[in-house]
Amino acid sequence: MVYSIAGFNFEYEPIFGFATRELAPYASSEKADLKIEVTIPDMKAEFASNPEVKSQEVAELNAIYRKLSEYIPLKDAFVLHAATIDVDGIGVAFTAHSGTGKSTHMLLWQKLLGDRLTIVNGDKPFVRFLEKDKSLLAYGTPWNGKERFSNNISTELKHLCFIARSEKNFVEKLDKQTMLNVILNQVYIPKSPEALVKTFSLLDNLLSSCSLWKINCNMEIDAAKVAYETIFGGNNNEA
Amino acid sequence: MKLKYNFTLNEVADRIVAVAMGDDLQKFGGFIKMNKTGAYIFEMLKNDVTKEDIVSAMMKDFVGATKEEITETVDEFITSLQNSGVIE
Repeated sequence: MVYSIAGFNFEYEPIFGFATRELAPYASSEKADLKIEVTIPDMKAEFASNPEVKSQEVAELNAIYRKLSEYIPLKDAFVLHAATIDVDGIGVAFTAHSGTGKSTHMLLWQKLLGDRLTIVNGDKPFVRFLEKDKSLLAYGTPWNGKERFSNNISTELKHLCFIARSEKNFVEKLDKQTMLNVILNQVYIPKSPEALVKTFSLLDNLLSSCSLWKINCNMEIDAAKVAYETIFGGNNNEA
Repeated sequence: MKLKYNFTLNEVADRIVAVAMGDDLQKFGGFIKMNKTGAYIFEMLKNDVTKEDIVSAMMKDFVGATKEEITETVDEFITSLQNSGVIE
């Protein structure tokens, strides 16, 4: 079976029904560029590295993710832990410390904007740099978080936002160094030195290409309204 | 003294970030951010060197800085690396 995720075409035969179902939206008739195999040691490694992995089915899907995450930096792509949406054709990524509520905030934007918004990925999009037009695209993947929000689509990333909980809703521009401090923990760091170096180069690209924002927000619909209007409205609310 | 792990130095957002490589990434999963001066000292610490070795080398390469300034910089940086647990 050939699957295409973020334009990476790979051959893989699912072992369990869970992987079959989660990979199904990515089935492709393209020719494969690589072949992936998941072995028992691969799945054991997933159990060992993550206590939340409780079944072989999940371990299988995670093992596929691991192999792709190690491969893609050599092809100008990396994994970003960010809830990512497309609004009127523009990509917005929300990142935050665990438990802050990226998904909650994303859903408030969905409530506010309706059909103008499409969820790209609720958890781990692949972000790919396309040399030909120097654009950064974020892609849907099967690694989409507990709620399983994703679509097999891509969006050009223009805005990278860090979310912090606050009583009042306000948005500030962030400088690259401050965003770097928070985003380092939200990027997949490969084991291979070559892929690691490439990942940092791509991260540098991300920080240079996107507008960087800090969204201070509560869980009311007004949070999405303030964030959307600041980011898309051209109002630079500096703190 | 020298670094405990194998690191790569990567330039990101006008800063330099040190990340442990390969299997060492499991042992030390943190990121160490520094400027170019820090990176100079960090590179030297890939080999077994003393503080004096570092200060001497910097006296040659950082023209204009006094020995006191260099010593202070080296002391501060090495202390922060020791606090991060990456120096043996």
